[in-house]
Amino acid sequence: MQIDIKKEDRTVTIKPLGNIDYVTAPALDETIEKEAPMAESMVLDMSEVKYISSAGLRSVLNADELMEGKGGLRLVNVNNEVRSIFDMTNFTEMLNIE
Amino acid sequence: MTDVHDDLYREAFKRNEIRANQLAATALVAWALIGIVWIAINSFSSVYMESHRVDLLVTSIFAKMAVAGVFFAIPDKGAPWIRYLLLATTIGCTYVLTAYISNLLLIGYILPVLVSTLYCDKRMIIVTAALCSVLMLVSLIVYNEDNPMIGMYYGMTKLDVIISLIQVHYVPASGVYFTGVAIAYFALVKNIEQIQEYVDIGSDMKMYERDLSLASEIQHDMLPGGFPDMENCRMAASMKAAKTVGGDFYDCFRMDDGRIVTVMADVSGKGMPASLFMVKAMTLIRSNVKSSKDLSDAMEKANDQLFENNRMKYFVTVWISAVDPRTGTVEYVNAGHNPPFRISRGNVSKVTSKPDFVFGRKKNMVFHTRSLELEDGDRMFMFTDGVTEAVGPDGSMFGEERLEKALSESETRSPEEVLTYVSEKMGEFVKDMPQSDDITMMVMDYSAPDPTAIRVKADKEGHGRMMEHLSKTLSEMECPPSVTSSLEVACSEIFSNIDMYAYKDMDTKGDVEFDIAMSDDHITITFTDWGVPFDPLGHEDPDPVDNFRKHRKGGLGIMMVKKIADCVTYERDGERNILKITKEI
Repeated sequence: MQIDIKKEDRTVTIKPLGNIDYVTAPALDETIEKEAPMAESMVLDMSEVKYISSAGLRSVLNADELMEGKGGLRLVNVNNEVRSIFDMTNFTEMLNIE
Repeated sequence: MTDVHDDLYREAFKRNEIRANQLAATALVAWALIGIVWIAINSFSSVYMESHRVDLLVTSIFAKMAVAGVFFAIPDKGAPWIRYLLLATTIGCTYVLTAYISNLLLIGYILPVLVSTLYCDKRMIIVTAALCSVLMLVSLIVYNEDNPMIGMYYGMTKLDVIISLIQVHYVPASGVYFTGVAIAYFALVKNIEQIQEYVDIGSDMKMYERDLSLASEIQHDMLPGGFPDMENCRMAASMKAAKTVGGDFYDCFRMDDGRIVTVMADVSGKGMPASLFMVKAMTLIRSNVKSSKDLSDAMEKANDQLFENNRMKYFVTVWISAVDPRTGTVEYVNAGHNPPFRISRGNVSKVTSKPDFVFGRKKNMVFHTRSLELEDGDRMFMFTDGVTEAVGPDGSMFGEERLEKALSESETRSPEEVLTYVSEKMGEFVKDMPQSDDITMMVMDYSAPDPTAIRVKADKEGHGRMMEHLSKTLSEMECPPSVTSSLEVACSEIFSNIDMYAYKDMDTKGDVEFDIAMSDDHITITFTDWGVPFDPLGHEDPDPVDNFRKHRKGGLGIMMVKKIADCVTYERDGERNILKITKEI
């Protein structure tokens, strides 16, 4: 899966270009782990993500924990389906979703 | 090895004992009858025999009849004491005859010696011969007391008489006697050797039979017991060897690319050598074809490998096919084998092609791959020439016409029933004639796969294909996008579970079958896998989200599936896990 990375000031924006499931999640994990140490805050742009499975949730949670104490993690452009997945799993409360 | 040998040895000698006893007893009876006849003749002739002699004769006749009678009456005719009774009677009667009735019968002592040879016992013959040679002298002397052949003359002592008896009568008689003993002994030794030889041959044969039936079991185990589970291809096969081990074989396995391979083969020759070659051929074909992408290439490699070390110049005719169960495309190679029949829409036709040369006989051969397309409901009947060349009582062969007729008549039956039906028709034709060649048959029924179902490997590539198939099918069914999306999540979850756990302990990843069905108000998706029994509904995680956050434990995926789907059911059916989810639309 292709992943777009944009760095501005000390904020990194990561945009996965496809669905996040157990096949594609490892690539996303790698990217997040690479970018997290140097970033002050992280943005996950979910505009191209049509659905996310439990593997994807793991990746998001991982990112959230890595950015804790710093500027944190923000999720943007979350569509309805992905949002309902977050609702279903109570991630909505924990995450910073715009 | 030795216990088979010893058993046979003991058995052989036990049987000999009984037979020997019977002969000895019969000899006694015959001898008694001769005595009776002699008395009868004597009473009508003018030759006078003293009454005490006649009495002795009658007594000995009675004794012989009595002993023989006892023998024929008792059940265990092999009892160890019988031989001694019979022999003692024979010796005793000989003594009576020579000591009291007529010394001319001195050489009659050879009779007990002959009887003793029946027992195949060297010791017995030696003891009997020695005893009889002594008795011969004793009876000579005793007889001479009453009927002087050499009388006492003036100045002769008893000793002188005995010495002249020995010189005149005993020496010549014993010359003949001992010659007879020597011949009898020699014959005995030869007889014993012969029995031993027969026992050796017998035990070798018994062992060979045992080995042969073991080999037959091993060979039987080699043939595929079941067939790869495919919903739309049903198969059955049978092999009946002419001898205990055969040279025909069939095989069926899955290639790495998912195609089903069928092999039908016939090795030149029968029995043990052909079956050993068969094992080699079968193994080489399987190993080369399974992982190959090109049937011709695989067969050419296998051919060269089989050719190596084939000094005996055996060969095998092969008809091999690779069937794609998703499309019905069949690629096949014919290496000198009789072509199979195809039954399509009621028509029975031969799948003819220009055959390539037989397999394993020449190096660097070329094998051509041809193809055909199976239609929904088609049947393939593969066989070896043992079927068509089965010979009937009038010398004619079963032939292709009768086979075609049988296939046509059994068109609507199941693959197993077809095998039974053809076997029955063959049985009716050959009647009692012996089977001269191995008879092997394989049936494959093809039905076009369900378009809403697909079968993929339980890996990431399979996941991609499944997701594609899912979104395509759902859009064809005009499923609302939100439902589609959540079903996609659920299916991805379920598939990832199967990928990660179902085939964990197996060498190769198995498959997942994925089927979508839609009715008026709901969609049902079914996952089937052939992995370890796993009921995802079995372990309820009380707080999967929390567990997930705190301990990264699984269970989150299943919780999601349960929330997305309206109904989730799990079933274990034989070797399969079947998971169904239903969603209302």
